[in-house]
Amino acid sequence: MTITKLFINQHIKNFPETFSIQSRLNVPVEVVNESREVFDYILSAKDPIQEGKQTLYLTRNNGAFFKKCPGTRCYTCCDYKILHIGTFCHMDCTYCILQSYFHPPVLQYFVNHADLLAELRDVFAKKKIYRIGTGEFTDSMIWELWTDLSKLLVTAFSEQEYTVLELKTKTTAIEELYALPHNRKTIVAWSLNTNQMIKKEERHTASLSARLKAAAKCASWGYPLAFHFDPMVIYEGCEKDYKHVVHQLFAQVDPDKIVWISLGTLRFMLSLKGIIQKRFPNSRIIYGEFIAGLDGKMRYFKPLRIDLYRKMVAWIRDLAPDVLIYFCMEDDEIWNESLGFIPSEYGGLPQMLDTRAVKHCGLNPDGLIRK
Amino acid sequence: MAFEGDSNQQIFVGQGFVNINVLQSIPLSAINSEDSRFRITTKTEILELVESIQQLGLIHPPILKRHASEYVIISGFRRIAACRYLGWIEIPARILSSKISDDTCIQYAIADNTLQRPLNLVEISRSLFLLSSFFKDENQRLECASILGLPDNLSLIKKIEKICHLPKPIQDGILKSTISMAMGLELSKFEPNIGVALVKLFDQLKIGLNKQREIILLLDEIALRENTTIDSLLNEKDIKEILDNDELDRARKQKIIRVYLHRRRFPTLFKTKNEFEKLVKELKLGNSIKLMPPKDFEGPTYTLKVNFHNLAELKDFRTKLDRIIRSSGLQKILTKK
Repeated sequence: MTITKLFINQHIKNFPETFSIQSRLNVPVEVVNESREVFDYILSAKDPIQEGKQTLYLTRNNGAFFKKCPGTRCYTCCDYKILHIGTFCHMDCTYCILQSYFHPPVLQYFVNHADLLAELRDVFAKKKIYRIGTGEFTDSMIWELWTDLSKLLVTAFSEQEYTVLELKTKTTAIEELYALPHNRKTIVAWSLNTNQMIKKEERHTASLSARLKAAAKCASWGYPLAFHFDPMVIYEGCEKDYKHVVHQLFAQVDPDKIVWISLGTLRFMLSLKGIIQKRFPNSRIIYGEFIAGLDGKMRYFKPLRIDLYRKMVAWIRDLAPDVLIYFCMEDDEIWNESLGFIPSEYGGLPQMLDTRAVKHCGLNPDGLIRK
Repeated sequence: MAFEGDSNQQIFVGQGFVNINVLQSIPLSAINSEDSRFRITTKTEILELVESIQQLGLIHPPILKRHASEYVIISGFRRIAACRYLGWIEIPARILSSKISDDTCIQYAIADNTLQRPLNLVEISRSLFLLSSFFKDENQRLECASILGLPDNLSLIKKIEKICHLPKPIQDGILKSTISMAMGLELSKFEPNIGVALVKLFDQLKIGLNKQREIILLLDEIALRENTTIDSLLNEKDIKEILDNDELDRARKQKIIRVYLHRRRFPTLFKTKNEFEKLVKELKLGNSIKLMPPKDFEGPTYTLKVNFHNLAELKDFRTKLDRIIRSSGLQKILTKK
């Protein structure tokens, strides 16, 4: 999807990042005094979500750049941290939570990078192990088309030894990463799904083979990798397809380069269901056997989740026995039934992932003690 | 002014009073009963009216409009039909001039109907729809609706005016109170044959709005999951057998249908619930103890409920609880193995 309109908040109109982005986009520009004007423009569209994907708003982040990932207490959370660089995405996945998360959803990019770097310096100064990602409120790499964000972040993270950055994406926009001095402090991660799901439900994203090819390239440039099978969708023939994805993954990528693999099945807030029905009437993914989870989100009935997880774990372990597999927002029963242990046996999920990051990304182990 | 002949009667229409003529006798053969442009009434039966006209005569003559060599009915469709039934050759009627515009005719039609009796929802819908085709200005339409005794709330009007476009069986369902207006509008999202089939089902089972919504949701999602249509589902042997079973009363049919649809929509959940109930039964807990699983088997917490009247019963429960705790059945339930 292409950007058709650029809004610039007048407070940042003279920022160098603003000029740089504007010069790379040949679209009508409008300077606004406040965000409300942009939101009104989006909301007046026939399909505000679609409009939000085509409208880029350059502004400043007046809040924190460093945030806690919004996990819930009911399920095991990995204590991930978010680097809030912008919002929304121009790709169009059926299940994308961002469609109902922002009101209205709009491609928003924060250009006050001096504030971002200052906040990062404070985080680094704590000398604690943190896993920070930019791919929660947006896709980490879509901004590569118009910005120098990866250069800024990868370089900043490379100069310290306690915190690791995870760039999570469904794109293949990795070219800029090639020449960067990453010092293994940036993990490049891909969300993986079956060809059928990518084709039907992940519009405008890169194909599976393209994602894996990009991952192999990043590995060859020395970047640690991660993969997220999330959301896995249960459909007729899904097991064969997911097994095939696992085989394709390890045919392209050396397991030793992988820091972690996460598994998660489709879950969604009820408010998203209506949006999916309206925007994607041909999609069937919301009609699985979903029940209301303890956090209020709709999830597959537990035995169905366990069944698919068990198989995925077996297929992955068969080809990559030493790779750390973890679940995103699942409970002890799922862990025990699918992986044969619960995180608390290893100090908890955050500890497991931190230790893995220390090992694979060359972080200073002292950071583990300070936590 | 608007009526042919004398002008000694007036009715209020739109912007002011229009003169009404004395009656004229019109041959029934000259009246076009096929043209239902101005028809408001939903009623078609005429026998009661025939009886009344036979006994008392035609108290309230129809309003007609001259159109070329014939007359178009503005109001009085059933009265004219009743008079035809009685074999009348002519009928007394008020005649509007052919110069009168259609929007004024519509107002005559609505006014004549509303003055005689309260309109039902479909008739109100027809009236509002007829008005909407002539008033492009919303405020003018609201004002006119208000004068004619119709709803004058725009959001309500927008809902009501859709009703007259629904298939006839759905309109009838609304008039019979088998379904609400809200449900009628929800059914308009489906293909007409599906909406009609659902109204028929609701009429047969006599169920309330919430359960109607539940059944529609289940049917819709089953159809989407199984790549079929609601229509085909309703014609399946399993469902037809339940609906056609004369030994079951409505309440029982309703319950069986809902359970059937739930089981089909959530097959694994249902299977797990059945297995759990079977295992609980094997524990022989009796009537005073109830073991309940976590909701939808998602959380980790089971609930044990004990009813007792006195200390002796509680002590008895303690013994029973010891036996249950030691049983392999409970182990099976908790470990799901």
